[in-house]
Order: sequence, then structure tokens, then C-alpha cells
Amino acid sequence: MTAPRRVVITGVGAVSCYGAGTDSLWSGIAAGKSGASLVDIPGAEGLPVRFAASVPFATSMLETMLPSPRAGKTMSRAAMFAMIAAVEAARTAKLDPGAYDSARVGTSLGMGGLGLMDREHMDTTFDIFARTRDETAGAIDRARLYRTTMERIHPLTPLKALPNIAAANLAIQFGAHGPCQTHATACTSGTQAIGDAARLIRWNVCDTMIAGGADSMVNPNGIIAFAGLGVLSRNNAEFATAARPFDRRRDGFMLGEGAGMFILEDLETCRARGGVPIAELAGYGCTSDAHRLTDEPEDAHGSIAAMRAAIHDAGISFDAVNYVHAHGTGTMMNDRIETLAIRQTFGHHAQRIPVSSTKSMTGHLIAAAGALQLAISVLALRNGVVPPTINYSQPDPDCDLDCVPNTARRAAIDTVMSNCFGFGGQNACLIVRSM
Amino acid sequence: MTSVLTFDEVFQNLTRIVADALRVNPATITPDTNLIVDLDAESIDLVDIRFRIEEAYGFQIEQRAFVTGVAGDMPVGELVNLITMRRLVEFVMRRKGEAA
Repeated sequence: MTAPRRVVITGVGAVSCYGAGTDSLWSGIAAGKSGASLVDIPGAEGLPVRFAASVPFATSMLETMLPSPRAGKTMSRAAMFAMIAAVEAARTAKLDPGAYDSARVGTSLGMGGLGLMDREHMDTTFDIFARTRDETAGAIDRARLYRTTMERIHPLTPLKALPNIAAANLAIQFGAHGPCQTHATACTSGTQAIGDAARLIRWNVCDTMIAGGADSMVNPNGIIAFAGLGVLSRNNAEFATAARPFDRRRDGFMLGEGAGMFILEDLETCRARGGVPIAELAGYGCTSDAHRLTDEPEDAHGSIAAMRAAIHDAGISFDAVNYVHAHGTGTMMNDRIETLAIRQTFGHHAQRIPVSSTKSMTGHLIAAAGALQLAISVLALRNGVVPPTINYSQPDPDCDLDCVPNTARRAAIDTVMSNCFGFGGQNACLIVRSM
Repeated sequence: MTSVLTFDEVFQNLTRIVADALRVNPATITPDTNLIVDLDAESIDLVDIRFRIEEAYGFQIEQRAFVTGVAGDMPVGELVNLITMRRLVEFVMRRKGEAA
């Protein structure tokens, strides 16, 4: 029997509130720097939340950063994040599309909010409504609305709205003729996209995967939607410190946006081409609560099962994990239940593991959350530094683990678990370890 | 009084439109530039260019009319040789003339 194929990460790319690239990402994270800023949205005073961890580039600027600017006209803001991060990942992996067996290269992307959520589209829609208002009747003339929509909405707009177009653009860019898949599982999208990509390599379907997640919900639609669900912090007055995972005063998360992208390879394929692994993607666990859509079960059974499955998949003992990169959204429920789940999974060892939430700095990237989190996890491994949970001042007895308060910590870590939980009762965990 | 559009005026305008749509340097575009052969336009690019022309000139073009209008109703296989800037300019001048 042949030994199971091992999956290694050979390239990492990111777009975050700190800008484009993993260098700026790590500088911000290691410094414990908040990515919070006031949103640049006309009429923001009408929004319930006026801050987020925004990517500091207008969409028109992002377009100029693409390897093929023409492709930008079919890309949502999130799709552009994915492409920019993927190019960085391929560059760091020294991946040569001319040299690989393209049929054995696949793409796997976690996506969420799509182009119809982007602010530019919303502005066009507003303009159409303004033109089709029947002043005498005081209402929208629907027939005129439909005609004007047909005339005014750019005909390529539906491509920005299709969930798979971002991954398809990646496949075109990198000449990847293997499976091209898209995951839309709310906040676990990116994690599942990466985990399932690793399985395709292990199962010998592919040798190389371009995998990750991207999302952009920092727009009026996203803010209103998540504020309506009651999961965003509305602490506009103290926006710079409003994201407070594990703190007793936490009152919801801060929205973020961006992407994390990876080149995953079969270890032997990587060695044969002279590639250099950065870390091993050792374990993946994925479960469903099958309970309620937005309430986590009080016994945390789904998230515990996902963590245990990832540990089992990695073939390690639970006490080999020496850093847990928490989902840690900063909602009352998530942080309490996640703490319980970590305690149940790790027993007494939970007391000894640092468990931090970088959403305190980057905000919650929704579909891209797990992907950016994994990028930070890999950088933490490489640098021997555990990222902090910032804005922490008041301990919560329900969240009594070591959350690495406020300042990054140098530590000899070699095995990291990265947690992700999402609406719908989605649970997904990844384990990365040093090579 | 309706002003008559000259070839040069329309060419300049369409050059800007095509350059924006295809993200190419307008200086590289001449009347003999073929959108598909020289500028690597694909079907979505033709849709994009149609929309931009509609916006700029204020008339509606059925996608089919646009392609046959530009290509002279040739079989699809030969479109590739016929979608030139010159044909595009002549098409817009003709349609604008009809509208006037």
C-alpha cells in the first residue's frame, strides 16, 4: 500500500485591511494594529454601523492591480481580491503554469457576497429608481423600471453575480484545467474551499490546487443585512476598539473584507519541481450542527466534532496543537460556545494553549474569514509569533482561555488549528503544521 | 438642424470606447484594427462595446443587429475578418443617420 499523499502549502497571498500582500498583513497583525476605519460611503450617516475593516483601495484601483485588467469587467470586488491574492500566492510558490500538467491543477474558492452587493451596482440601481419614479402617482412605474433597467444595467453585470465566475477567472489566469469549484457556506466558505481542495490532492484527483476565499460585504447592503441580524457591533462612538472578541463588553463583530489564497501541492509533486513547502496542511474537519440556522447548540456538538475530526485527520494527538486561531467573532454567543467547544476538545490542555481572535484587527471577512485566518496562521508558524486579540480589557468568565490579550507573543509553535463556524450551523477546522 | 458626424469624429469616439472596453492603449488603434484578431475581443467584449455605444449615441442595438451590422451579415466564421474599426465607424454613422 502506498503512503497517503501529503498536502503542503507552497504559496500564500492576501488582501486585507492593511492593503495587498502578506507582508503588510503580517506587519499589521504582529503589531496588533486595528484595521478599523470609518466607511467611505455617501450617506453613511443613515447606516446603523459606520465603521469596518475596509480594504484601502477603491474598486477602480483594484482593477489596475489585476494581471489582466480587461477581466476586471466581469469581476465583483471580491473576485478582484481573489485574483490579486492568487497572483501573490503563485508568485511566492514560484509556480510556473508553463511547466505543470494543467489537467492536474484545480481551483477551489469560497465566495459570499457577490457583485450585486457592490456599491457601484447599488448606485446604478438607485439612479434607475430615481429615473422611473412616477411623480404624479408617487410610486415607481414598474414597466418603465424594467425598461430602464434593461437599458442602464451593464449587460455583463450578471457575470459579476454568478458565484463561480471568480474561480473561473482564476482557472483562466493560471491555465488550470482540473476541477473548478465554488463553495458558498457563509463564514466557513473559505475554510471548506481549502479543506476540500486538500482532499482532491489527497485523493489523487489533482496535484496542485489554487484555493482560498474572498468576500466584500463592506457596503450598504452588507452592513444593513448583518446589522439587521443583530450580529454587528454598533459602537460607532468607539469604533477603533469596538471589535472585542472574548471581552465581557463585546457586542458583535466588525465587518471586514479581503481574500486569502493558497497554492496547495502534493508533497512529492512539489519536491519533483523543486518547490519549497511553507507548511503542511495536515488536517481538515467539517461538520454540520443540523440544529438551528443561527443559534449554536449549547453543547457545541458540531464545532467539537469538527475540531476532533481535524485532529484525527492530521493523525496527531490533541495536545500536539499549540495554538488555536479562533473563529472568535466577538458576538456573545460565538465566543462563549467556542470557548466551551475548545475546552471539551482539548480538556486540561485547553488551559495551556493560546486561543486568539484576529477578527479583533481584520474584522470578519465572512466567506473569506477562514482563508485570511489560515494565511495569518501560516505566517504565525513561520515567524514563531502568536497573534493577539486586541481591544481586550475585561475578562469574561465564559471565555476564560488565554486569548493572548492585546500584544503578540513570541512562542515556539509548530501546529495551529484554525476554526471557522457559520450561519446554517456550518463548522470547519483546518490544522497546519511546520515542515 | 442635425449635425452630420464625420468619420474622424466617430472614429475618435469609438477608439476611446473600444480602448476603455478592452483596456488597450488607444494609440494602437487604427481604422484597420480588427477587434478580434488584433485586440483579442471575445463575445463578452462585443456585448460590452455594444452597451457603451448605446450609452454614447443614445440608440438601442440588438446584439444580433450589432454583429451583423458590423460584419455585413457574413457567416459567423468570417466575422473574425470583418470586425474592424472602419466597419464599426460606418455602422454607427449609418445608424446615427437613420436616427436623424
